[in-house]
Amino acid sequence: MTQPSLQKNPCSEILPLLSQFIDGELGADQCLAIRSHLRQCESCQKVMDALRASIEAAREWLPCEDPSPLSDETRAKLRDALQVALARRQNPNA
Amino acid sequence: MEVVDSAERPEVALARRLLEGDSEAFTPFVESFQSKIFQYTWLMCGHREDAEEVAQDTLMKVFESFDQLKDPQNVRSWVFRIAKNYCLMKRRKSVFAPEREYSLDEALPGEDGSVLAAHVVDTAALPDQELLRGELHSHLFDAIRELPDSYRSVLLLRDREGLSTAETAEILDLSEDVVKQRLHRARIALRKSLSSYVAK
Repeated sequence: MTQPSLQKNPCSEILPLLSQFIDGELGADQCLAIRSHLRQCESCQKVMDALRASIEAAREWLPCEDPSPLSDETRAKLRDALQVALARRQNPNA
Repeated sequence: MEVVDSAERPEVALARRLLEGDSEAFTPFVESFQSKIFQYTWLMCGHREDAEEVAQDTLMKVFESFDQLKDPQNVRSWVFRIAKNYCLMKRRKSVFAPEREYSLDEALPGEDGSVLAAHVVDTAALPDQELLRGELHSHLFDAIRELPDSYRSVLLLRDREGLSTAETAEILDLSEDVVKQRLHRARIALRKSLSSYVAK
């Protein structure tokens, strides 16, 4: 079985696709070609590692701030707004 | 009979219960979304006070228009779409908004492997113990804030909130191809920024 081949400049074809490769958004043929290229291209592998680190940073390391608790008055307003919307849903012509 | 997916996300189940008139779902729904919306608006607006205001405006709009939520499955993208619109409105009123938003196409090297690789530090230079430093949190905050809005929102929705490409495209009124391209460039820009922090 032959592997899908890349064109003259494989790095320039592969690099824009690396995020989609990590996200599982590419077809099997493209994944196979990329895996094969990464095994032999240190530069592209380095970019790949950098992308993974960036994703991890955004997922795990971004600071988390808690919002201030909502006041009783604000909660009451939100509840009222919901009731009005649900009543409109029940009876759209009212 | 409507089939309810037993593995559906908690927010979807809460939205479904609210639409069915279950008032006990109100508090957990508010608590779940208030925090998510605030994280997004805080990282989009950059100022706690603005983010609090935008998050509350978003929650109010969500409940005022709850009858317009057609499918509870879409509740996350529906809520974030409202949050995105309020962030945009806040930004238009802000005196700090830049006159022109730059594109990461201008800021990043081309898609040449060796050139691009030279701009990102070797991952070995960013070990876990380095990541554990508290100051990284503030640097990461600054690095995210330095991204142009249109790239930052894609990165936050995809990598922070875990929304799909299709959901993100729908929230931001973009094509899926544009979402993929901006996400890729935002990830590289973020890593490049973190690389310069480690190199200091």
